[in-house]
Amino acid sequence: MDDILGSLSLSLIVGLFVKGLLVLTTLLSLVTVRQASLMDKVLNVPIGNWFKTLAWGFFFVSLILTIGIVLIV
Amino acid sequence: MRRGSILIRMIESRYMPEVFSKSGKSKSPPSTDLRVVSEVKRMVDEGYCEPPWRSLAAMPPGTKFEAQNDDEKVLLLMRKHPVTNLWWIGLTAVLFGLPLFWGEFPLIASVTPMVGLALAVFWYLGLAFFVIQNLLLWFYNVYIVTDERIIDVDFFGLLYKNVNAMQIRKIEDVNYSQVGMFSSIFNYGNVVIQTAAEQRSADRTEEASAFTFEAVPNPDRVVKVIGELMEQEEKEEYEGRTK
Repeated sequence: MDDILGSLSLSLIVGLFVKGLLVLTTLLSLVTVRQASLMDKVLNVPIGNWFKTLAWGFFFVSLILTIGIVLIV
Repeated sequence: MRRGSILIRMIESRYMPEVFSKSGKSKSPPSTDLRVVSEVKRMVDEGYCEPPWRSLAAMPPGTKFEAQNDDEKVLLLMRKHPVTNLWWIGLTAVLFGLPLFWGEFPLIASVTPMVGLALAVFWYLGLAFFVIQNLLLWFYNVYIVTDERIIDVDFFGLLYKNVNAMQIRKIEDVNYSQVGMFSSIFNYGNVVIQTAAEQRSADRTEEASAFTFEAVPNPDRVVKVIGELMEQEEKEEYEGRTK
């Protein structure tokens, strides 16, 4: 027990916490993609595709960064 | 005569060369039936139709909405005045620079550089999420006035949507209010539309009516358009009864 507690450091705890939050952010970005699509369905405007592209771009950036952080840190 | 066909005829006579216009040489002054169209047309002449992200657009090109009837024309498309976005833009600017001062917090300063990097990545992703959310909510929370109905589209956060639609003939009264310094300077306000059977909105806005157009630019012109639509509707009903 003491070994486990001794191996726990602040960086480890914060790192795990941040990884979890990054995964959550990626999931939320996926929800945003769906949300942008539904919003565009409710109101179809010429620049609606720009918002969908923005949402997809955010999702892919989140995904890449999350994978990178989870694997490296 | 359908209001939509009147509208198309007015646009034809204004924008098409006479050789393409059905009306040809005869250009009679608009009758009282065309007051609504003339008001909207005046806004189009003043450049209220472009660009698509403007907060008050008259007859915006290429705009359609869910459950739109085939012959239904969008006369006005409104969203909140851009100045109402200043709070989250300012907050984003402050939060963007906050990581520069992380060294002042002993708890954050004591983590390893890689964990600090992960923390910064999460911070800026979260900030980007905040910006995109607010941008989407501003852009898609719209109020639509067509030649038949008014539609109030409200989105809240990720998972809540509320769409109210009402026929023009059910409107009892329409008024607007401008409260505060910003609304006076930038000329925006709330347009409140009272229905025959007054009901509080079932949504989460706690608005004074199910149809409150919040912080829309030029509320006086919006009220004028809706008022003229009501007049036209009453006239059509009256003529229908007397036929």
